[in-house]
Amino acid sequence: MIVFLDLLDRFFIAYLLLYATFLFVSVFIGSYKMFEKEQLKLTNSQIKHSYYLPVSLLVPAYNEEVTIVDSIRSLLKLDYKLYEIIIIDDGSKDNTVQVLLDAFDFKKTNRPIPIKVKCKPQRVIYETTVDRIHITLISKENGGKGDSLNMGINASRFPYFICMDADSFLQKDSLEKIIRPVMENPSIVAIGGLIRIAQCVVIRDSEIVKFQMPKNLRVGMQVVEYCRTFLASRILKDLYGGNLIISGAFGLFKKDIVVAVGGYDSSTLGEDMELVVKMHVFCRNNHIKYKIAYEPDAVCWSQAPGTLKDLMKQRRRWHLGLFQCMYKYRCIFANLRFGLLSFVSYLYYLLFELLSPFVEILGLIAMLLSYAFGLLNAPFFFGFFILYSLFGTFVSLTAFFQRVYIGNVHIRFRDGLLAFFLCILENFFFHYVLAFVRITAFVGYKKKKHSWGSIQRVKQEQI
Amino acid sequence: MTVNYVIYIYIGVCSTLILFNFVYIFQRKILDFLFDRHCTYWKLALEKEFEHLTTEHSIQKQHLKQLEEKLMSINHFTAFIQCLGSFEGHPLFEDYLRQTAPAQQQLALKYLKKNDMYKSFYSYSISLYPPKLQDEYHPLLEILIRYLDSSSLYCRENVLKALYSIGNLHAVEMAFQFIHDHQLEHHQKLLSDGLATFQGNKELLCKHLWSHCMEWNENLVTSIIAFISTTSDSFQETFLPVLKSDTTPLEVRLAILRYYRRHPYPPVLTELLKLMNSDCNLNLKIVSCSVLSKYPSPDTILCLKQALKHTNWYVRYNAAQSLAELKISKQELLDIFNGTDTYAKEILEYMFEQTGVSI
Repeated sequence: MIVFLDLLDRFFIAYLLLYATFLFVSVFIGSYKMFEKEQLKLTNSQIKHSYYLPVSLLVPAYNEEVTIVDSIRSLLKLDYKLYEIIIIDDGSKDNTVQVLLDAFDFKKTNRPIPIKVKCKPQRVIYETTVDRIHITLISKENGGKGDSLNMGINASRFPYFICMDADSFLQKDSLEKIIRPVMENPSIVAIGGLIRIAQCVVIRDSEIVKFQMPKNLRVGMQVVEYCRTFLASRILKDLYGGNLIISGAFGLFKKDIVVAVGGYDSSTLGEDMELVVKMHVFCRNNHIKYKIAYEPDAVCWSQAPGTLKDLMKQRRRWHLGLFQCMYKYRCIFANLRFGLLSFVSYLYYLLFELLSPFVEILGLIAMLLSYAFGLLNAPFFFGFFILYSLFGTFVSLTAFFQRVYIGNVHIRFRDGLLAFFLCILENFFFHYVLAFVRITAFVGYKKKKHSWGSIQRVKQEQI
Repeated sequence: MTVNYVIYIYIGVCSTLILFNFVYIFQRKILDFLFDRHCTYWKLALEKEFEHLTTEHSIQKQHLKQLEEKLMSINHFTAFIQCLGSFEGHPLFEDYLRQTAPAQQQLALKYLKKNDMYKSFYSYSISLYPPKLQDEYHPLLEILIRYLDSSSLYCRENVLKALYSIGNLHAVEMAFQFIHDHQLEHHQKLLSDGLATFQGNKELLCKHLWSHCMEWNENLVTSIIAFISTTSDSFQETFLPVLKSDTTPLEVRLAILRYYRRHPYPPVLTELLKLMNSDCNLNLKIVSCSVLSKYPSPDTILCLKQALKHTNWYVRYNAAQSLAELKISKQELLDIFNGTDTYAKEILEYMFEQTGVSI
């Protein structure tokens, strides 16, 4: 028992050290890359055209009557010449369709939609054109977010599409920014944008007019958490095109490849991750030259859950989705054919995302048992815990302030101080709460397999 | 305890990164402050120089030297560009650019030794205020083309932008030859959109570029045809044999088909109908269907009606759209509306509804 506990303690320390190293390398490279990008911007070394490729914006909606009209209005103000908007109402129980019909001059049409990827049938189709932007509203039978996106893909007219959430706001230039990498590298088949928390900005006409740290601590901690995630690991994995996730809140996809892989899998909870991993596998298996990229300049502001209940619901959903996807594509694990995708990306998600809550809890149990058996070097372990959490705090702070200068955001001293406090709180406390929540994700797994991960929405001006 | 040391090192480096962020934010504030000062400096210098130009009709040597020295700093250069912009309506603005060309050339040479980012910035500045070199050879053009050598995509894009703004067709031709010779990858859309901003004689540029089309790669040729489509209608005869040839790459043929949609040419109808009735590539059929909307004839209607029953969705979609655009009467389409092919009927009804034609 003593030997076992000793081994367990060593394993735990090695695990944390490995994770710390990954975070460190990620943040270091992320910082360097962002600095490099900033220098290119300052010297006007960037592609700037008024028009690139036509894009279809897919907005799946389920019970979004509160935010949908504002979202669509903001999408109409984007700085891009040729795009269409397709709203897919997934059989909402509220007045999502009605508020849209009231807000825009829609006309019912008999538009035939080809079935390129499987989805539930449509009920009614409405169409209108506002400021030369074609808007299609499809009301369909309920089938989940993936199913709605599949309907959107079928109805889209352009070769690239963007998936986004109905409660998200795109920055005015984000469409131009997300398509730009395709101009640089035509083998790109998908691009993920940067997701930031909408509660820390005031948005007017798709432009940021004010930045402030939210007063709600739960939301504030998510702000620093998002900064770290999107600065650190995504930039590192982008170096070798190894990102396994493109957030469902904002991502651009090449339609023909998505159709070739069969579109979104509506039977999974993490349909966004599932699609990306499926595309990796498909392209590698068929020897197609491809890249799945990440563009941190293309920003989408998304509402974070404000209540603990909603946050727990969201994180459980994400964790289940991750599990489903990792299991479904286990063929990537330790597979030489997938190279870094297998040995860095897949392993990262397996060890530090999927298994991390279990390892952390296991570590805690091991420490308690060690203490019971008199094996615990208490000063060392507490010292190590403080040091490790402090390191996490530094990483979060690096990511946060990097965002400040990259985004050319003016923050008040008070907000900087609050961010510092939130980074500490997040690393010393919030992180472990979320670990516990993720462990409980598997309770009632079968029941919530196909449900929409809806959270309580508020209008932008009420944020 | 080794573990602790590792973490200490990580924390140390992260602290340095945070410090770097603060220093960078602070440096940016200083640069903003300096930028304002540089703007004042260049405003005064340019006012003085334009005054001198008005009275003496020449630029002072001291000003040329000032440009050569100070504009090696990006911050100074940005301020200079901003201030120069406020003189754009001045009657002697063009004269100023012409007389400062020697300093520009010296700067171009100095920037040649710098990295891509600097070269890119220099090219960008030229694209904003191009010297009048449309019809003459100037070493500056050659230096700009040398920037293309082992350049990044951004630098390449800015160099091309500068050349388009200058409007010298030989320089653009040389740049395209350079891209071809060095097998540089540049997106077709960027090339064709860029060419459309060319400030010289576009018609002549079309002819010059097309004369190389047999030698250059498919990507360049496709972008040139896309540019010609937006510029000239005098290639109708030239393109027809290229379209007919089976050895022509698919993308080039598709680009030519799109050209014939924009610039209708009756002799091409036979080729379009032939493509629709043959076992050619599906993409050729899809585009041909759309092009046929510009070629009204009984054969066209018959061919499009046939296409409505095609297995491919896009062929059917484009055929219906073309029939709607051709404003064919219901009588002529009764066989479709009363027929058993529901797909053909539905898409046709929708297209007629969209174009506002009563069924």
